[in-house]
Amino acid sequence: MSKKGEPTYDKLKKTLSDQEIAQSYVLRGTMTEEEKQAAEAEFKKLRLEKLKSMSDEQVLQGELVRMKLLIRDYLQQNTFLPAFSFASQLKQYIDLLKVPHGQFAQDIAIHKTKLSRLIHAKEAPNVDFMYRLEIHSGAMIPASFWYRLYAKQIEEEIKTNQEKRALASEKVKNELKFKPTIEG
Amino acid sequence: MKLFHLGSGEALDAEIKEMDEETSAWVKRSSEFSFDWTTEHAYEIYTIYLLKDDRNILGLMSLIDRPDEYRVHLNLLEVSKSNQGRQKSLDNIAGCLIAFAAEEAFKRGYFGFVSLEPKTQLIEHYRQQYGFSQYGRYLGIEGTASQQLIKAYLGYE
Repeated sequence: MSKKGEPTYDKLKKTLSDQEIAQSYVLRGTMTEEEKQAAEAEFKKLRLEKLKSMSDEQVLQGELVRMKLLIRDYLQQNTFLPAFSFASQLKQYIDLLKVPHGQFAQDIAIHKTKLSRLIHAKEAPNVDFMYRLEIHSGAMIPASFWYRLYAKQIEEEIKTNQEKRALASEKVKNELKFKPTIEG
Repeated sequence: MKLFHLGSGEALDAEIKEMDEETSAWVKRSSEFSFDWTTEHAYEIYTIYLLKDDRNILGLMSLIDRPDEYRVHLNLLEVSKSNQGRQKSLDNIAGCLIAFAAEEAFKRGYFGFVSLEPKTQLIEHYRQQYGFSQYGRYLGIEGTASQQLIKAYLGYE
C-alpha cells in the first residue's frame, strides 16, 4: 500500500499551528533544481567561511565532544577494541590538545616518564590520575569514562590471557570438580 | 533519552535506531505516518520508540551525510499522528530526533552541524524551539548550540 496525499505545509496548517508543525515535522525541500543549486552554493560558501573562522578552542571543544560520544558508544558495546584501550585514548586526548607530552605531564602534575609509561600501557592508571584527566578536560570526559575504559581492557585481559591462567592453575590445590553439565 | 507522557507527566525511556526492513514495512502500512518513506531509502532513516514498546514507532527522520561540507542534512522528519498537536500524548519526539542528528554530526567530526531546509513560516519556530540559525535559505545548528540541544533532549552534554 503506498501513501497518497503526502502532507504539505498548507494541508498541515488546516489542523496544526506553525509551532505544532515545527514540533512534528521537518518537511522535504520544495525548491526547484535551479533554486536549489543557488541555495546550495550560498550555503556552502557560508559553511566553509564558518569552518575557517572557528577558533582553536571551538575546534578542540568539538573534538572533545566527539571523543566523549565515541567513548560512550564504545562503553555500551560488549566487544573490546584496542583503539579504545586506556592508553590509546589517553594518547588521543593529548594529541587533540596539541601540546608536548612534557607540558601535559606538568599540567596534571605527574612525571613525564610516568606519563610515557601510561601512554605505552607499561603502567596501570590509578583513580587519582583519572580524576586529574576529568578536571583537565573541563569535566568533558568524566573520570568514570576513563575508569570504565580501563576496566573493559582488564576484563579482556582476564578473558584471554591463557598464560597467566596456566600459571595460576599450577598454584591451586584441591580445586573443586563437578560433573560436566549440558552447558559444558 | 526520555519522552514525556503529557497525561501523567511520567518520563519514559526511549531509544533511536536505524530503521530495519521490518519497521520499514510497518511504516508503509501504518496510518500514523503520511509520508512515503520508501523514497528516503537512499539516505539514513532513524526511528524513535519507547523501550517498553519497540514495535510502536513514534517518529522518523532521514539524514543525508555531507562530509564535503562537514554537515548532516536533516531531509525529512515526521512525528506519528497520535503525537501531533493538541491531542498528542507524548512530548519531545522531534526534539530527541534532532538532538540525535546533532550527536551524529559531532561523532562524524562535523562539530555538531545539522542543516535543514525550512518552510519560511516555520523558521522562527525552529530557531526558538531548537536553536537553529540562518544560513542563506537553510537553517543550521552547530557547536555549543548543538551541545545544548543534546543536553536538553537527550539528557547529557
